[in-house]
Amino acid sequence: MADLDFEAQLSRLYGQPPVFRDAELFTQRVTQKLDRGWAVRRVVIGATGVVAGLVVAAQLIGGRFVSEFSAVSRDGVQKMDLGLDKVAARYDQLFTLGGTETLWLAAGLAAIALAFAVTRLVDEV
Amino acid sequence: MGVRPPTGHDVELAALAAAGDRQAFGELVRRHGSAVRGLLRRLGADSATADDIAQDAFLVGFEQIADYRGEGAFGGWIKKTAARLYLRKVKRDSRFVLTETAEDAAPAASDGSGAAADRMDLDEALKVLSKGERLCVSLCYGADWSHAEAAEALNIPLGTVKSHVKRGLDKLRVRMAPPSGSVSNDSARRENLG
Repeated sequence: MADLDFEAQLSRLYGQPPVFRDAELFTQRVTQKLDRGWAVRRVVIGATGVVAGLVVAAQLIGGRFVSEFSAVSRDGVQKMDLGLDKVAARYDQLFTLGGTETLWLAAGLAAIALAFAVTRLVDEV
Repeated sequence: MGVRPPTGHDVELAALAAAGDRQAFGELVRRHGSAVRGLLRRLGADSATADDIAQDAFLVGFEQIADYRGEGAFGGWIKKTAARLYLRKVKRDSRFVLTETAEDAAPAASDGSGAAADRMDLDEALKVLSKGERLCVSLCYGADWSHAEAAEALNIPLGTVKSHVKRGLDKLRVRMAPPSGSVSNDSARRENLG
């Protein structure tokens, strides 16, 4: 019985936290660390988004270029007998029509992603 | 005009924190920070280490707050997290050897004098315990771990934990016992009342 009383008393004493004069400072330190960690995480997410955007843009340009180039090559083989002049004309088309549009689209996407990242960075810092 | 800290029960604040509300978690830190820091000191950590681990415990707690479902007190949950982090550090540093030693088997220091207030001071009383005893007693009574949980976390046999706890309690009982004068006074008072 005395043992149980003592153990209950001990649990009660453990339940009474000491009073720290710097308790508020401790709370501030923890919340500041939380805020800092949160800010870093958001910047990392933003940066990841920018990188992903740039990769997508690069893929878009690259994919378009490859498909156009392979189309040109196919046509070139078929129309080899028609002469190199026609192939050259088609190759020129790559940069004057679809290729230019794609390039502008990719540049636009990259600019939006960059603006988003800069806004986020300014917001966080 | 400053932002008022969120109020409410710990479970409500924890739910808000799980949704990303850092202010709500800050209030939980305010409420339980001292308890966690105190526990770590009672486990045997020095002040600086205790505060560092307490901070880490709250940061880990925020990351894992979704795991807390309000089944027990938030204070108990965060104390367990802090104790786990402390044990990890103890093991990493290999600072303590938790086997039974001659020091562990030494009898409790009994000063025979001193004020009753000092006797009741748990933090002072814990100083007479060996490191192993202090750790086991504080884990079981301060962090509400079972003997089995402590044995598993410390990677020592269950019997050793029980021995540490028993010897620790015996020492604390002696150290924290009220002076004989006050016992006889209490008895006399009871007799008078009866």
